[in-house]
Amino acid sequence: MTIAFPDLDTRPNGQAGEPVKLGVIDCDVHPLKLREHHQRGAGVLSYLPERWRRHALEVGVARGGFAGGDRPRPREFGQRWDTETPSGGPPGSDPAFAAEQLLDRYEISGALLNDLGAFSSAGMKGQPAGFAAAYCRALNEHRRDNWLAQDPRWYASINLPYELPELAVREIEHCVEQMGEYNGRFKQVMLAPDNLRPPGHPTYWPIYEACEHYDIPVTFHVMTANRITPSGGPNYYFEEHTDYAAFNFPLVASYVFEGTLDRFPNLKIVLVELGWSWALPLAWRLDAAHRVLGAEVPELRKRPSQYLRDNFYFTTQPMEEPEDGRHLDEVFDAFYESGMGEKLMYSSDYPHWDFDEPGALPRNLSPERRAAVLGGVASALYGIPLLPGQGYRL
Amino acid sequence: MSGRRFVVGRASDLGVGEKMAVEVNGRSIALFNVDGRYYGLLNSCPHRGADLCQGRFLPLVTSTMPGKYTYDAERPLLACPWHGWEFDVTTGQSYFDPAGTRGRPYKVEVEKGALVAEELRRGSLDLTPEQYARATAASGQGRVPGPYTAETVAVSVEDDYLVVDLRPPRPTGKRAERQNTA
Amino acid sequence: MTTAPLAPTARPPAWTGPVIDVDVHANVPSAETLFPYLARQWVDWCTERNWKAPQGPTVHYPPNSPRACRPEWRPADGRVPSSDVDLLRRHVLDPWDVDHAIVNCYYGVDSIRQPDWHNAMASAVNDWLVEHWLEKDSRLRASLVLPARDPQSMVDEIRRVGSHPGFVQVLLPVRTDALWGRRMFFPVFAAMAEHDLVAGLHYGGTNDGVPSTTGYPSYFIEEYAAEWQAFGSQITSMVAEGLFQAVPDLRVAVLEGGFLWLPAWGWRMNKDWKGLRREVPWLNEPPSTSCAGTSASPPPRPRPARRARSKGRSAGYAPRTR
Repeated sequence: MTIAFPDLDTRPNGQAGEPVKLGVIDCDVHPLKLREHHQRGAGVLSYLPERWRRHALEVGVARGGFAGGDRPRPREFGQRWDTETPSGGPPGSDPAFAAEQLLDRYEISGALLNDLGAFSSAGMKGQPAGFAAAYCRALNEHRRDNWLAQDPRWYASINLPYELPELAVREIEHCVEQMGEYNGRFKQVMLAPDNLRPPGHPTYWPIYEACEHYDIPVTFHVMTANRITPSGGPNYYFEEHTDYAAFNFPLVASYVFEGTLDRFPNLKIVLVELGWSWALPLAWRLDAAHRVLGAEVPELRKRPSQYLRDNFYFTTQPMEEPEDGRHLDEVFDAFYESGMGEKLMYSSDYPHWDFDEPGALPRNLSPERRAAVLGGVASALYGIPLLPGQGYRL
Repeated sequence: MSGRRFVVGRASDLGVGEKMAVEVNGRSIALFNVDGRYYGLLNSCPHRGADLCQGRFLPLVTSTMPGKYTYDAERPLLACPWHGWEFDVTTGQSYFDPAGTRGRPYKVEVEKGALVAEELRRGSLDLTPEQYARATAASGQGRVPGPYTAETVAVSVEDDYLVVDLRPPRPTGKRAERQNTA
Repeated sequence: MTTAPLAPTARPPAWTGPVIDVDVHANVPSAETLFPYLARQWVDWCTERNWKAPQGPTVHYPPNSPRACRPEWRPADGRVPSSDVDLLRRHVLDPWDVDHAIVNCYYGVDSIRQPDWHNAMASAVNDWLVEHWLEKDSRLRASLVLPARDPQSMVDEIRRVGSHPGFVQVLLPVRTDALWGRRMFFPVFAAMAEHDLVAGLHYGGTNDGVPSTTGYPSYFIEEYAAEWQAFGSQITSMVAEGLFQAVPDLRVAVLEGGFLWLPAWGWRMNKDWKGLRREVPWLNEPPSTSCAGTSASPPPRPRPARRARSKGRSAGYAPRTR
């Protein structure tokens, strides 16, 4: 994949003397999940067949709960306080307000909606299979009517019952073939990093086959439905939030050593809110393990680190902020020199408290790299156009 | 001296525990009433620029040992609406790094209406409360462009007014010189 | 298999100063080895059931994996690798001119469930380490093995044997049923600090549940390569729970857990702390400060003269069962 960098000398966005703008795509925006269930007649539940609507009302849509009990975030929904809607609604519940507060303010060309609300059902925790499939369908259709239809800058990740791969594939087909003019607005499928099986397991291969077929990425977003550490639940949200950064290790190891990426060499995996600064040390670790234990996986076609370079995409939020900025520059340089930096994409995590605006990228990032991170890479990956004259002022 | 001190509203507009943002001379300033004392901070978090005025006051929590808390509701800190960094609005200092990470504080004075009227007439004060109120109602955002001239002012001598002082708390050396000539 | 055999040569002269190898392994060759250190009841317990070994080591160190032992160090006569001190001398201590080495015995005591048997086995391993390793070579120090499923039993074992001058560390498996930072373990860490023992967080541990956040791995290499996750979450737990405020003298060593992930981990903790510290207000400094005082390997502690003195204050060591 090649990325078209803007030609910074020709100032394509305007007249000479006007600031250069770098087109922005936001890889992580969250529509609200729970409260809208109660919007009678218009909420997600109204999209369910009667049989499952009754189930949702009686049993709930998230019976499985969070891993290890209650560890409430310091703020409801983990929100940015200023994202409550003008009518007093919860954050992320009003597409128009979100567009104004995020897309307009930062001149964002396109944003991926990642619906965390699906995970508890899609992951089949305490839910019947039929409900998992019906609820994912309801969410996708609700998002189509309430978000995608409202603003052409919204794009969706497909919610799918991933623990039931056959039904999951049906949901992918539905979203990219049966959504009419919105087919092309469903840009990727979304899985949780704490699946029942490691995500490289052959159980999930039908999903990846469909992703390759439709040329859409599979993305993972932080979720803590099943487990947060390999050694029991943490007691504090501070702890949990730090631990997110390690979800990648088993996820990447599974994809690599299971041979999944030899079977699906064109599969693109996007890691959202799962960090990136770990990737190079992990690549070394995987290669070192392979040098000693490679006999266990003799079919592997490439060195483990090569799969990280070839198949994985990373997102920026929450941006690293070491006390000494030079350390960040060094890590960035190493990340780029290793060949992984070209897969880094901007994400905001709106409307959550650990939001990053486009200006949150490191100060010393070169204009070319900044352009790629803010929009170039994502535009090429998802086929989302960068709007002329819109973007981050250099 | 004109152009550095601004009337931004009636003191009664900002009740105890309340906060509001005002646009003064091109910058947004967050005003706070903490137990009847008024404080101002540049309405931009030193971290990522979030509107501090959208933050919330939370009691100060400290501890020296797991499970032992000192919970001081008398000393609330302002938590940024985004990442939750805590600030002491009386000094602008952040809790976790008072010396290195701080907001920009502004002096907020409460002046009698009669004095305000006189100063406005003399031109040593800008921005009338009436215009402030009208613009606030128009924008709906609690902000108002400024400054305003004194001609249309009708200051009520019975009321107290909030005056924001844009001068640095203790101007020294070159900085004071520069501002005097500005 | 690409591991090249190591020639049994002296170490190259890149470094002529003292060398301390902080992680060499001693393997219990068989259950019978421990019988001299077990009460009759527990000996019978093993023999009645024809019980041979805890399953922990086979999970974390598959017996014939090159990860469990380099091929050239497997005894030709079929004995268990590194199961007696002569093997260790021949393979490591002598050829590499090691001044001191810390023996870690990953016997997998924590995969034994019955509490009293579990405790007895931990004590037996420690007594075996003293007699067959520490007393056999003055270059050796060792890590205590603890009955990691019960905090009170852990404290009891530290009190029983932790004053032995040869024990410089406690072996804490990184995979546990409950994160080490939790308050129920505070007395255990206090006992370690009191006995001047380093908490050595080491690969391995419970076989309960899934060894990662995402389901059972298919391959050993997959599990092994991702085990950083367990180390990261244990350190975060210790930091977040305020363990280092509660036991300020505590030192933690991370063994077989890597260290390259730690700087970015520290940045992340620090950033989160700035906004979330009200939840963990005992963290009065950036959390990475605790890690800066923690080393990826134990500090070069065992200076025999000093240790002998510091151990002099409590001479409580006595093998429980002989």
